[in-house]
Amino acid sequence: MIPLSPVFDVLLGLGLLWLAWRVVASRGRFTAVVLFMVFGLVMAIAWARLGAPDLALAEAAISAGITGALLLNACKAAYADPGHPQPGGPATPPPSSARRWLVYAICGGLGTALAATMAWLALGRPDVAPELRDAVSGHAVDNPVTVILLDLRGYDTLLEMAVLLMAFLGLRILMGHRDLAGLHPLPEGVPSMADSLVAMATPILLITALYLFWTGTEAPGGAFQAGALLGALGVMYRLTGRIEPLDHTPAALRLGLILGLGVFAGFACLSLIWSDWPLSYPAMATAGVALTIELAMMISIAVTLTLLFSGSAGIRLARAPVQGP
Amino acid sequence: MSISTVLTIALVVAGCAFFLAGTVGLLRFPDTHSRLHALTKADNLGLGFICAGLAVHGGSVTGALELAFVWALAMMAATVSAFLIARWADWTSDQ
Amino acid sequence: MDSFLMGAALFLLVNLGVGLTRLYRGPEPADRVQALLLFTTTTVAMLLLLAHAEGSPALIHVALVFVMLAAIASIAFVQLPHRIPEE
Repeated sequence: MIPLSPVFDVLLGLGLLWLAWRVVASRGRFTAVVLFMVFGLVMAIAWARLGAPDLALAEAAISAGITGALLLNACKAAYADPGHPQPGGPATPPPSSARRWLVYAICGGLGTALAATMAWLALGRPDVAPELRDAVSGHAVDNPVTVILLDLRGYDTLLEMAVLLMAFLGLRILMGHRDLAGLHPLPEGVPSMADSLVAMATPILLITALYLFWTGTEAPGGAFQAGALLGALGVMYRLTGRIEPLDHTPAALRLGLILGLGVFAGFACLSLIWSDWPLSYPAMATAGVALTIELAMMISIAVTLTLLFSGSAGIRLARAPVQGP
Repeated sequence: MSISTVLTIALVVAGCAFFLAGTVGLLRFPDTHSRLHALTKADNLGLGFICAGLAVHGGSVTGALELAFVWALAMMAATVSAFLIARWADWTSDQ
Repeated sequence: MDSFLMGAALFLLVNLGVGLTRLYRGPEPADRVQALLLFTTTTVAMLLLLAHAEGSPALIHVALVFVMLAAIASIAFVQLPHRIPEE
């Protein structure tokens, strides 16, 4: 009787490697994008098999929703832009064979060294560090991933919120050079079926996002997954013309952008009152503290992702619904 | 071998058979529209049978409702996607 | 029963691998997007089977998220120009 789980995992790993190679080596831009989206699907299964449903949730929301649509839009913008170099046009001469083999050797060597190091680390460690187990069991929050994200490694999460904000600032800088929102204009007419689907999907997505946010303290979920899901909802709205780009950022959006970083940083400073270190939870903290921070983060993540997709400084709900054939 | 085990196995096998039919159709049918036809069968019936089988396996009403919900959403998404892709392919083939 | 469900998931994974040939070959862009659609449904089915085989109900939520966002790719795809230069 062949053991099924190892066969499944090996096939999964081989599939991921093949997909990654084809994404890089594909001749067409569109083919590479579609292969990348399949890569995201298979990656989510890999996270599930590794016993990390939080990561699988985040991978699902981000790769299926946001990254896929973002890359397809980038394709559209590249095809529509007459100044952009097209594939199949006059190409630079391919690098010499010796140089190519040098690159292969360096990449292969680095990749093998990295894989060997990770295998050595993974095989040599105990299952769960006893300190981690103690920290999680004494905490008000039950989900160990959330404990790590918000408490034990809170600094990382704080910096990640800063990275999101900086990505938006980078977008603002780019917008000074190119008309980004004009690169993917609103559709002239959205088929009514797609519009109805988006209308039906809105309450479902909202409830699921809020559920994932609420249950993040006990079960897989949390601010990132909920925020990514809401960002995907924003992407759907932008794709079907229910959200229009603006060339300035309204005050409410500015508040939404800085809310996550602000609340988390404020909490970090406040915790100097009851302890010597920033970012430490007070002794009598309940899960409510974590939920407050996560709510602010969720709003910021959703707003930032939608704005990044829209490629504009601000957004607003469209005045009249866009109806098409 | 209880009745629920037999039922689960039968339903999941039926679902997998429809997925196989969808993949075979995707590979062997001559043009875009017939391939769409094949894969929407895999979506509706394949996923439907698997959800039914897992609902029987799970045994709880809440779990069954969750699975039915996933199936309903999958059908909505497949409907709209098939329509959009068929329209797009129609435009291209008309040119 | 768990190993049977695992076997079904393995069967679906092989299905996905075989379907990748259509994505790799498929002359029209529409064919590639169709393959993507089939793979999304296959992934959802695999996640549901794994949820029951491993006993982790959180994977059903992952399947739910996939299914809700499945239509985004199609909506984004049909806004591409009808003549894709490299195909």
